[in-house]
This record gives sequence, structure tokens and C-alpha cells, in this order.
Amino acid sequence: RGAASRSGRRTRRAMPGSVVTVQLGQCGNQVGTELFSTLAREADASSASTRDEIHETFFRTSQARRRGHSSSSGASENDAPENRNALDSRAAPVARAVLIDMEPKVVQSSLRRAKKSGRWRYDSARTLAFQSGSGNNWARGYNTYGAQTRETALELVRRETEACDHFGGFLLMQSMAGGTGAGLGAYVAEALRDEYAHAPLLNHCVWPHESGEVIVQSYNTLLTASTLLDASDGVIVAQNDQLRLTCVKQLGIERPTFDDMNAVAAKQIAGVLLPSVRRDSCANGGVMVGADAAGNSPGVGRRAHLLHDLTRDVCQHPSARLLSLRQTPVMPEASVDFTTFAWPSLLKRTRQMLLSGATLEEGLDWGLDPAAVGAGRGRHTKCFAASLFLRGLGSDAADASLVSDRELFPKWVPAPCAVQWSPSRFDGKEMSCTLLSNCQTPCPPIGRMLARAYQMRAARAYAHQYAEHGVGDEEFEQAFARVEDVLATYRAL
Amino acid sequence: CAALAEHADCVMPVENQALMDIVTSIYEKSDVNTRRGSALTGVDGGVEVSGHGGRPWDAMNGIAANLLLNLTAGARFDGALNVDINEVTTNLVPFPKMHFLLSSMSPATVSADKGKAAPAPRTMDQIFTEVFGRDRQLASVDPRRSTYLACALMMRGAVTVSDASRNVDRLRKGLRMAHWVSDGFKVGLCDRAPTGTPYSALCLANNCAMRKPLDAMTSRFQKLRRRNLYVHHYGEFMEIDDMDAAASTIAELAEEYARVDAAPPPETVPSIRPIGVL
Repeated sequence: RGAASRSGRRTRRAMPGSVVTVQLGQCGNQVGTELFSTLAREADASSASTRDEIHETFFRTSQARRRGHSSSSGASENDAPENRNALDSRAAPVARAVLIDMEPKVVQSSLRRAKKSGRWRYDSARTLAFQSGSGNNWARGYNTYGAQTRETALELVRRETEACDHFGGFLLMQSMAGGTGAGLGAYVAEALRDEYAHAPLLNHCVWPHESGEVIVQSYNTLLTASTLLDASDGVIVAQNDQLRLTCVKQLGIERPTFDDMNAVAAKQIAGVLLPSVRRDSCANGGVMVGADAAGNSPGVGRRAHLLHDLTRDVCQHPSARLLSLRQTPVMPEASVDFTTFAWPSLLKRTRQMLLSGATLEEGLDWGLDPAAVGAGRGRHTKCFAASLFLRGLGSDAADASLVSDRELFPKWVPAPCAVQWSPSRFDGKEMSCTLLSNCQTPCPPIGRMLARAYQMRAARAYAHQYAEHGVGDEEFEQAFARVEDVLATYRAL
Repeated sequence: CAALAEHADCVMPVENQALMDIVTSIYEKSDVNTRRGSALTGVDGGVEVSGHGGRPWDAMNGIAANLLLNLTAGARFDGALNVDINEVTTNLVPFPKMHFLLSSMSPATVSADKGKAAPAPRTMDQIFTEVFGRDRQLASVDPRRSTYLACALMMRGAVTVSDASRNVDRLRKGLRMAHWVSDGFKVGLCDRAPTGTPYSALCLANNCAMRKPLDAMTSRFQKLRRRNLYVHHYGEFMEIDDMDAAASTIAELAEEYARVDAAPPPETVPSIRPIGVL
């Protein structure tokens, strides 16, 4: 079962669920392209069965490649990209993605970048681009363009979901500060929730630099957050400031570009989305023995099902859906060969990153701990639930109790920390660890954003721009109220 | 101007006096004008003229042309953070009538002479500093003395987002920003630099200093109107009342700018308190 026959044809086993990605706006498209590049690269660097699983989940492989596999003329399973280019370029796997933007340049450049890599490409029929742009106006993206593009966007998504053998959910990539990614993105999320009421919907949202990327970013992030926290199952908040610091402090890049920051963000998401096996706590006290790469041994954890497992593990409360990503180790490629990896130190650093509320390993406050007494008591970042992904050598047996420590989570959550593992290396590192947590980390930036939005609102600044496209006082009141509610839920932890 | 205040979404006035000042200062700093047949132009491939007289408006028009090129670069070329004209209107116009933007650029011109040293190359940080100084404004005002309501920086060339945020953080301290727009910077990044320079910056600001040109315009108008000079020429084709209405629109607008400039931040800001949790 699961063994390759000599002709290279796979024996049928349960197919993994496929994830359809919708990339919205300039930021969403750029991060999405980077994410698919990372997934394609990891696929090529993995064993054949893992690569097939990644391809099935995130890409559509064309018939030509499958024929190439089953022929005995020697098209080997570990085709180098150069060989694959020699085959028809139409044979490259096609990302299961829909690209939407209100102006054409970014979508075009995403299509070009994908094709240039040779490993994968986008389907140019799954794009939707207008000419004029949203002008950073959330109301225009949400009301005006939302209504105009609803039919077409849903049609594109329907075609993509129908191409999946086994559909696993939606991943939406967008920014929160702009007009298209934020406004149209929020509209699309609601539309998908209406059309596909039972499909898991996960949003990856980029939080802007606090020094200011867009002047009305407080309004746009407020409105996006309030809409998504109702429509979506989970909202991953990736802060540009934190991504930039990661590039500067841990990757040694002095002047990070958006490409550098997108690469960091893409690796963090990939660390969660790549195939893994769940450790069920009933089997062998949480430690696996004798599991094979595909995780098919009976009685041992089953394969993680995207996106259902993710959202069910970390988003258990309807008012608490804010997620953060942390990954370790993050280092320049040149340093990897000179580093020794060990699970205890990785897990200890992950635990402290969680307690400090940071998403990078610099400046961690090692005094923060739930068991601390005196001044340090209770100052650590609190967490509802988390999902830990261990990848690499010995990940099946690594002791994750530092992170799945019940002290870190509220008493009333039944199974607060899920642990998944995979023997494949991630990003060329012998061991690596990614944590998706539902915790208080996004709360300080949200609080600051609310304060600025209140001030702007009191001065009635930009009110006419938003009212022109249907977002007036009432909508703002509702948005403020919703986000305040969510913040209160988190602060009460 | 009154018609623009009513109907336009945003207006970027460019003052001849400011252009002349910029051109003069560049002539003084470099020795371009000593060579016969040389010319300063805002776009590459300038016109050969004899002596430095020639067509004196070329250099000034070149600067204005550069303004338009930098403004539309985000829509014409790829970039890490695209900005097109819609985004300028949304971000820089907080109140409908107050849409007169102050522009400034660095570098303002490039030398058309190949092989001759252009005005000294600037470091990237210097470019940022210059666009906020009073020397490069395209209207004869000093923006640092008045309140900024909004500010957009459109960068072209090899400028990364971290360069932009570093410089914004550095320069923000020297500027008076309205109390409700503490993070009020719009940043645009375009990959393609203008010809002749590795990077450039265009700053569009909605600054209360714009009331100075409006006030000057009103006072010059009143000087003529008080004595009814030349009014009969206009009376042939339009109602005199319309002229007066236009004048009062402009005067009101200038007052609005002055009021916002002087407005103190409020004591308390209304906010919503959640009542009951979980």
C-alpha cells in the first residue's frame, strides 16, 4: 500500500484535500506568487510521495506529466527543472489560484514570474484585472468593485474548485491597508462564505508599516478586520514591521525590499501548509514509533487535512480568530551548513517567542513565564490555542511539551495544542519548527490602529471619500464596535 | 481657481516664481551655463540653444514636465508599491474643498550635457531631505512652518521600502502634522528611475501653507476690483456677481486652511467601550 510499482504508477490512496488560493490586490498577488514558488521549490526538494502530495494540494498537474511518469522510457520521478523545461512548458504544474486586481500590471508580472521559474505556472485564464485601480479606497473596493466583479470572481473560483478531486478550503491572500486587497478582498471573503458555507476559509492578511504606507490605512484596516472577523474562519495577521525586522536582524539584510519580506512571510505560511502527520495523543503517549513517510501505519497519527484541521484546532471561539505565525530557525542560507540543530533549543525559543509576543527571535524577554512570581507574573502573551509543525530529522519523536504546556493556555480549552510532524526537511534546514497560534500578539497594533482611526473620525477626515461609495457613519460605528469586542475578548484572557 | 475648487478632485499649482528660483539656483551651483550651446532641461535630450539665453522657459517647463512624469510613473511602470492618480486623490484630500497640493521634487532637473557634470549627485537620504526643504517646492511657500494634512512620497528607482520608512521616521520629527494623521504618509515605489539619475523623489503634500498663494491672489484681485479696473471687459461676457462669488470662494478656502492650521487637538476623542465580554 503506497509503494511505487516499477512502472512508476502510484497505487491509489486517500487523496489529500486541495486548497484553492485567491490572491487579491498588489500585496496579495506578490505574497501569493512567493508562496507558490516556495511550495514548488519544497516539492522539488522532497521525496516523490511528498512531492505528489504537495502537487495535488496546491497545483494541478497536467496529463502530459502523468503520462511521462507511467511510461517506462525513463522519465525519472526526480525530474530536474531543466529536464522538465525540455518537455513541453505546458507540462509545468499549474497553481490552483485565482488572481484578482483592479489594475493589470501586478497580475501580469505575477504570471511572468511564475513562468520564468520553470517549475510551475499560473493559469492565465484564472485572472481578473480591471484598468483603473481602487485608489486605496476601501469603500470603492468593497461596494463598487465588489458588486461589479462578484459574478466573474465567483465563476473563476467555481472552476478552480471543480478542478479539485477533493476540495479542502480557501486561502485568501491580501493586505489590510490598500483598496483592492482590503476592500474587494473583504467582499470576496463574504461572497465565498455565502456560496461555500461549509468550506474552511483562511485569510492571510498583511498589516502595514506603522510609519505609514497609506494615509487612510487606519480606516482600511479597521473595516477589513471587522468584516473578516465575521466572514472568515481564521485571519493570520502578518505585520510588515515584524517581517522587516526579521530580515534585518536574522537574515542580515540591511535594506529589505518587499521581495525579501514576502519571502519570509511565504516560508512561514508554507511551514504550516506543507504536508504533515498529526500526533494523536492516544497513540504511544504522543510519540510515534515506526511511522513511515506517508504516515500510513495504522494506529499512528493520520495525515493533517488542510484547511479543516488548521481552522478547527486554532479557531474554536467565534470571537477569537486572530492568528499569528512564528518560525524558527530563520537564518541566511550561507549559515545553514555551520549550524547545529537540536529540537530542545528550537522548542525553547519557540516557547519564548510565544510568551514574549514576538514573531522573531531577537530581544526575547526570557523572564516571561506563566510560572513567574512577583513582577513578571501575568505579563506574558496569552494564547487561546496553537498548532505546532515540526519538520525534519527526528521530528516524529521530538518532545514538544515545552510548547504544548497546558499552562500556556486557558483551562477551558479541551485540546489547546495540536502537534504535527513531517520527516521532510523544510528550506534545507535539518530541523525547523513553525507555530500557528491564536494569541494576543496582534492586539497591540490593533489597539493603536483603533486609536488613530478614532482621531481621524473625530476630525471627519476623508469622510466624504468613503461616504461617496456607501460607507458612512453607521458602517464605521459597526466596524468600531466589532473590533472593540474582539479586542476585549483577547484582553480578558 | 474657484471653478477648480468646486469641480476638480485635486489641483497641483506650480508657481512661475518658484520655478525661476529653482532654475536660477541650479545655474548658480553648476557651471553648465558657461559652455556655449548648453542648456538645462527637465527631460533628457534637451534642445541645443546658442548662449544661455535661448528659450528661457525651457528649463522651467522642464521641471513642470518632470512633475507630470514622476506623478504618472507609478501607473506606467512596474514597481514594488504602485501608486496611480486615484490613490493620490483618495489619500491627499481629507476634506472635499481642500485639495490644493504642494509639490516638490528632487532632483529637479538633470543636465542635458553629456559628459558635463550634472549638479552634484545626491545620496538617497539627501533626496528625502531636499523634498521637505523650502528650496525645492514648486510654490513659493515654506511648508515647514504650517501644518501638513497629508503627504505622499513617490519614489522612483532603486529605493526600497525600508529606505522610505527609515527616512520618513527621520524627517517626520521636523514637520508639523495634523493631530489626526500621525502616520500620514503615502509611499509609492516605482522600479524605473528617470533618465539621467539613479533615483528621484516627488512629494505631494496637502499643507496649510497653500493659503499664502490664495491670500495673495485674493488681495491682488481686490486691488483691481476696488477701483473697478478692467471690469467692463469681463462684464461683456459674464456677470460681475460671478466674479465676486469666485473671489469669496477663494477667500473662504484660505480661511479654512488657516483654521485647520491653528486648530488645537481635541481634549477627548469619542470612542466605543465594549459592555460585557464572552
